[in-house]
Amino acid sequence: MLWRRKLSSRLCSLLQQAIESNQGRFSLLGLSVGLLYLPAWLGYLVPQALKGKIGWFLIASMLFLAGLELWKKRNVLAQLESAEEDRMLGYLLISSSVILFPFCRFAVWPQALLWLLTLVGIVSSLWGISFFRLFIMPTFFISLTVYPRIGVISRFIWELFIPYEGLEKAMAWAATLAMQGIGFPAVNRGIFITFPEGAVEVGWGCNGLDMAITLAAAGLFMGILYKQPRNQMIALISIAVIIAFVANIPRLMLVTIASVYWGPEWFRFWHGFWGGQIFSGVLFTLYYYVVGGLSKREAAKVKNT
Amino acid sequence: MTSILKSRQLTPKQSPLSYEGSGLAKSICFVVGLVCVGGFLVDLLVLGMPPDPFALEWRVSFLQQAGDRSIVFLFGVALLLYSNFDNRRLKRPFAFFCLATGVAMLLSSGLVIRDNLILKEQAFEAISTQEEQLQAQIDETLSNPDLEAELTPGQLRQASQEISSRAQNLKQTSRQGITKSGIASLGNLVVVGLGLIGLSRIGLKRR
Repeated sequence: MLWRRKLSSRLCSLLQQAIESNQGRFSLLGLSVGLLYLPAWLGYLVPQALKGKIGWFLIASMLFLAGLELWKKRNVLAQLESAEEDRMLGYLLISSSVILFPFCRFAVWPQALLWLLTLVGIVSSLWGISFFRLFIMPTFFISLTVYPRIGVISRFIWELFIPYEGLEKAMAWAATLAMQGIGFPAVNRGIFITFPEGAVEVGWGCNGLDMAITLAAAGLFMGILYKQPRNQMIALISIAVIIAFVANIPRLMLVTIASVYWGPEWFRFWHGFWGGQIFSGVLFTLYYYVVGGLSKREAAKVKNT
Repeated sequence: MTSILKSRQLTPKQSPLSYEGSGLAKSICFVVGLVCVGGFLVDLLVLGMPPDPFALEWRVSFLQQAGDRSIVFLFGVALLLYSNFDNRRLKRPFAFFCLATGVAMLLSSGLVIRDNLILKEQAFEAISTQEEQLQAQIDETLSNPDLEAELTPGQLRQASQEISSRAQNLKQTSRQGITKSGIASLGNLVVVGLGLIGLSRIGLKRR
């Protein structure tokens, strides 16, 4: 129990220090917004994680990488000082967020927005605006973790730029072609794959975008962790996206066959939690081996030249 | 003759031309800045004249048009800040005003998002109720025993499918339209808000 007492006394002294200065007081006020928002944030994330969704993994990795970067450069961070105009901006952001927060409890997104503004305010009042220039990667990652529903944001952005049901149609078309190739009497009609025995609709969840984003993010995280050069990182990400989209076609075929020929039980199995787990397991293994093979070839090339 | 020469010799002590030039620039900036800000305020007044801040439509159109015109406001504020830069007493309050306006603009983006979400929902509901009414009519006709000879049940079913697909399309286009206008006003508000904050930081900086 010694560590616990140590921790609590450390926390107490930190709190006392914080309360003595204006910066500390405002930071505490801002952190209280975070504390109030935390149940809503976790309340979305935890049930999703239990359902087998992978968003929590992305958020945890981003927080980890951002924290790692901050910890590595803590000397730089300790030297940063906020100017008067930084503090003014920070105080204004924090206090307006605190005032507005009670009125924004009706949904998760306004709370996320205010928490983001509060974080910006805390950072600006403690370390100044130059923090954002010096720590671009942590800033980007932490601001992405503010809103737990990453899938909603990605879908919003995707639908802004891509024609309606574009990816679903392409996936249905590709899956139909592949099914025809192995001898099934499949016909593609828009987002539907029809058989004489029945039809399957390729919905938003089946287009493989979520998996592509997850795998691309995994590639990005690996690249950052192992300090790959930029070209290598771009290659890692694009390979991930290609693999995810290509691997989505056999998955669609499997789910379609399960739905049309094997009955609803099998469809539920492959379309639900376990099928998703198996699919992501296979996908990550595939990705691992492809990247491993490619990097070996690169190494061999370097040796030869 | 001598007096003219004397006066000529007197003035060039502190390079009068450059001083006059900067003074001239500042006065021009002051006038133009005042005009920009004043024009923006007049626009705002006219746009929001029967003020009804609790009505969704009023708020959406007001924020959108204010966002569209806010670039002029930013320009005017920048010119005013420049023209008052040597005036210590005026500069700081003016910079605070910029900061507060910028933060308020950033915060109003939340309102824009909320209004757009509600607007989208309302549009969807309207389309859905219309579709349901039409489908109910078709169902009624289908269940009617003395169906007219030239209307087969197959035709009616096709019509019903047509209606649902059209409703889907309508929803799609209305959603896209609302989203686009929302993003436009959101982007304007955020960008101009950040610009005002940047200006205020220049004004608040002590050297």
